[in-house]
Amino acid sequence: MREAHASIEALGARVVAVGTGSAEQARRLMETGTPFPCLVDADRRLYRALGLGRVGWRTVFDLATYTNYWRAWRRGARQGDVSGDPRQLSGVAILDPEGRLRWLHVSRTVGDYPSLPDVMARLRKHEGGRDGPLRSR
Amino acid sequence: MTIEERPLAIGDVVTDVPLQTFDGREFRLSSLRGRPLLAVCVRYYG
Repeated sequence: MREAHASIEALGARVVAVGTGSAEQARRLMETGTPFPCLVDADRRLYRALGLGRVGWRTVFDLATYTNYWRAWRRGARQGDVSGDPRQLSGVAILDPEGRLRWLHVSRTVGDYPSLPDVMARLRKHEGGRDGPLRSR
Repeated sequence: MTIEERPLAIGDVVTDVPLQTFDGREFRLSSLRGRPLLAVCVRYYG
């Protein structure tokens, strides 16, 4: 997402990351060059509002999870200290300029993120900002 | 399940819950209205 940030901004959109971890960890991420705000939702209120669930411990440690870790590692991702809820599932949402939910990817398992090209295509579909396609359903 | 616990549907205004910035300040997504927003809710920061 860091690499795509300029392209996303060029579409007129903003990016934020939200995590369940600590503010200290969010600060470290921003100090390492994350070009968008890293926010903390310690109470998981946004996660619950979006219907982002949690997995059982068995899923956290199963083969599919480690396969996803391996894929991420091959892309250059490196795991630091875990802060927050390791059982929390992720999600990606697009909100329109009025704050309405326009698209949502709810992860079904660990490492289930939409591809960057897919996210970019969704944003392009809604390109146009306040007066563009995101305004009307 | 109460109404507040019902997950949002497409078209709903996203609940303006208080989030926290890296320096401990409260931050609300509503402050970013006016442009489309891509919100990436990660599994955890690491």
